[in-house]
Amino acid sequence: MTRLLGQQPRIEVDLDALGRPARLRWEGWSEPVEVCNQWRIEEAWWRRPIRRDYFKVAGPRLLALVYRDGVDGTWHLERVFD
Amino acid sequence: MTTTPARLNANSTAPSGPVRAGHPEPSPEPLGSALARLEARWGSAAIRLGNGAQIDVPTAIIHARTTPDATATLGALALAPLSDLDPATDPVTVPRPSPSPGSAPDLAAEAVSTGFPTLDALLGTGGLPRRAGATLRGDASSGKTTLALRSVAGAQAAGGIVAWLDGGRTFDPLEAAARGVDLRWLVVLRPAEVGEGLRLAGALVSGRAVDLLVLDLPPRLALTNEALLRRLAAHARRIGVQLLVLEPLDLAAALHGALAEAAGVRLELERVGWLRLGRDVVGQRTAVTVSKNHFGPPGRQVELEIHYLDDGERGAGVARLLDAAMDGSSMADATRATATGPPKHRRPHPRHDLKPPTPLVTIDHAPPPPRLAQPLAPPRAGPTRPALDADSAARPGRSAVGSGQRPRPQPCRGTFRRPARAAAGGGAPTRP
Amino acid sequence: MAHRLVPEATFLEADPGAYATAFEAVLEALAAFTPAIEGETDPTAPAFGRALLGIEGLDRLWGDEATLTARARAAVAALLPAAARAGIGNTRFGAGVAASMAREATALVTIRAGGASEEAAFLAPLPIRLLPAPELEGRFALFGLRRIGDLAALPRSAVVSRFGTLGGELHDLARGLDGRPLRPRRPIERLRAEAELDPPVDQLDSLRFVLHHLAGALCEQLAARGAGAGRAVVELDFEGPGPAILGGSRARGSEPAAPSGAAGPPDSTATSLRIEQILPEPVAQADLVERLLVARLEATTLTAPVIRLALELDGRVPQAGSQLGLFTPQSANAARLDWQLASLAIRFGATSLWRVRIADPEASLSEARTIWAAVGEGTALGSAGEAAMHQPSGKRAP
Repeated sequence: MTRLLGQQPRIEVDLDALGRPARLRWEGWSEPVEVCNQWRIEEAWWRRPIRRDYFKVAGPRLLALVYRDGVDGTWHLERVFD
Repeated sequence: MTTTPARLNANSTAPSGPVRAGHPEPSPEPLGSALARLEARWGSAAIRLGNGAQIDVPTAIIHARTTPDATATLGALALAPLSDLDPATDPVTVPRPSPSPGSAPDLAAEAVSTGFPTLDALLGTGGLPRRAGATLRGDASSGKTTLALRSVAGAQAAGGIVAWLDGGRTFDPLEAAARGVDLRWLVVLRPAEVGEGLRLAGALVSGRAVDLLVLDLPPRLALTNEALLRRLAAHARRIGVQLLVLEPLDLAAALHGALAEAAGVRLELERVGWLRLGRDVVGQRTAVTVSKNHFGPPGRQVELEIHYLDDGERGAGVARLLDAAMDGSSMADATRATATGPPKHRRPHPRHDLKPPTPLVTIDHAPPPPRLAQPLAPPRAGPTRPALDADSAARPGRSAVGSGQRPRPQPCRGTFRRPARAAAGGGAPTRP
Repeated sequence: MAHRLVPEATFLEADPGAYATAFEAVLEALAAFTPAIEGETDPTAPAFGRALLGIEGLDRLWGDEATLTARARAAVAALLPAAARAGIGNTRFGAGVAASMAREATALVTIRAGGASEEAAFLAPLPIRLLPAPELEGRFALFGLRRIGDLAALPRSAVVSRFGTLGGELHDLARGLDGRPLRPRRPIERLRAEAELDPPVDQLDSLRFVLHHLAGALCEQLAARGAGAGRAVVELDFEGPGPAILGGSRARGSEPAAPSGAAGPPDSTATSLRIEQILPEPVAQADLVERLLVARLEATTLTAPVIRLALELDGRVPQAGSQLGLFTPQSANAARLDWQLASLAIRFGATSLWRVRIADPEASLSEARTIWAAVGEGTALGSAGEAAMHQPSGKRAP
């Protein structure tokens, strides 16, 4: 089961040389991560554009799904695999 | 590349393969679109039958695990060779029998299945005991939520109604459904704050409206909830509502103590490795230790394998989940397992832009739905009689005038109403 | 376009009003056979021209099913442009499919009397496009599902996780389970009773006492008619001019929201208060109605004595036909659960208890896949309904 964070909270992300997540910071914890998979979702450009670069990242404690909002550049935590 | 159209079953609606007395036959699994995409992407590594024949997609219907060669590898993309699954314990071929709706729900049963047969066996009662609370304790990706959802599915299969206190607002209904949870018989509590939620849960328990209450506690739960937790646990025990608590690892000591006292069974979950498919993490191995057990010996341990439904896969529309208990319940087995352990922090691979995630092809494990009032007549084999088709003229044979007999009373309890007869009339010829 | 193709044809002007009137007459004629009749009279609706009759227990009046059908067809023969086709089944879906299969030569198609298994056996070999979801037809084909029986053979949870809650409902139909009740045309009966309170009353216990008796009297009348109340309204008149109530409900920890099941926030003027409550299911049981209304009153602060209390119940015929919930073991507890949840939602707030359905499991954004509905918004748990859809955060679902 995964935990879906309905509010998709903003997180801080340190990037590696290729611009992909290397460390996540959120609510006091910090986790080094490795990218396992990534994809992009882009839709509704005619209405309210949605462009998200999703990264599935694995760290010592958890496996999570984060995305970078292509519109405002913010990073969000969407899912924790549990 | 030539393909040989292959149907594993002579009759797609009549599954073949081992059938155990008293258990429903496994259902055929359509995989046409999944296989088409796999083949397009992976070519020779695509899923194929053990005898080397590839499948003519999208028309083939595959009956997983029932062909003699199915235990041979299914190609490079196989998650787990089917031979690793013990038919005696695999939850798909040995589903838990469900009570008929005519009888009372099977809540007098000792325990609720966790969905993992080896864990059920370890607990001594065949699952989480109904008359005692249970706690699942583990870190963020320990697998406790998956285990809880499987248990919910087990409780519902036995006829129960479940309430889930979503303390952290992280409940994912789609995942729950994929794990076998019937959303029709699930109430989700999402209070403004957890204390309020515990009071609401207490009121729900008082009404005896639910059979299982799951408390999904958020991390950093306030100490002020200790008394509420204790009271709720005692109340549930008194009323006879089963309690299942998901305890995060960083819970305050006092709260941890309250839960430890209240529970008859405590399971500690720890992820011991990832399951990888190439670079992708597609599941995990979790060690479950029975740290407390009023109904059996504590201290025993089993390793479970949990496979995820990949998020990106939903967009491509494929597959279901396989969860299987490892056969051979010892940690030593992990050393020869395919898991690679926690990923080390190493130089990342060259970037793959916009690569869709690898699809998963697995077998449904969900417990069967509760049995209907009357056993379903198996669908009649198509080839032996002309199928009724709304586009063709109605054949006079079966459409004979009804005999006017009254429907037979259904075995039932409570306020069951007999299914009434309904007549529909069309005022003008219209296409249905 | 049509003119171009067939210039010699005579084109008639559509007259929707006339069509509706004509079909109304048909329904009136059929209503003579049974009060349990449902029909769509809007000519633009897909179901226009179809009448659904509950014929349970009518054999003593009208003869066996075939005789009843023949009489009904004869009654409407002069009102319709062509002979009516008829189908009989154990569920409304089955009956509808059977009727659509009737033809000139065989004007009545009957499914063997019984239950879900008979229905499912009849439906199994039929094309899957007969299921009422054209939007899923293409996806069913992708998965190799061509007959209704193909869908029925799959595990329900797998269907839900792939095709959403709609897929689950179609799966139920395919297995001969159709929980949709008949919605009779019979007009809603509105029963009303009121009591003058002299001396005026300012204690909740006293109001409860009066409410108890009013509810008892009205429910007795409903029961005698074989009807159930789907909605209750309480009106209070207060003594003296000026503001008499604080109004609203005491939703804890949130904005004062309309209590769950309310058809709107309490309508308050200076001297009166009106509270509407949707009931989880049509009932004629006074204690159930009273309990829910008392919960609403408890959630309302009164600061002036009450001089008049009125209770109004909208009566409908109780649900006829089979109910989906009755085919699962949980069904026996479902009704009790609904009432308790409605009561709890009033006490703890409309946004505390939720049920959820899967709208589009294929949606690329996770937030678009499911729809959450607050419990107590007029529909029973376990049934598909048209509840108001709100995301738990308060935003409307897409």
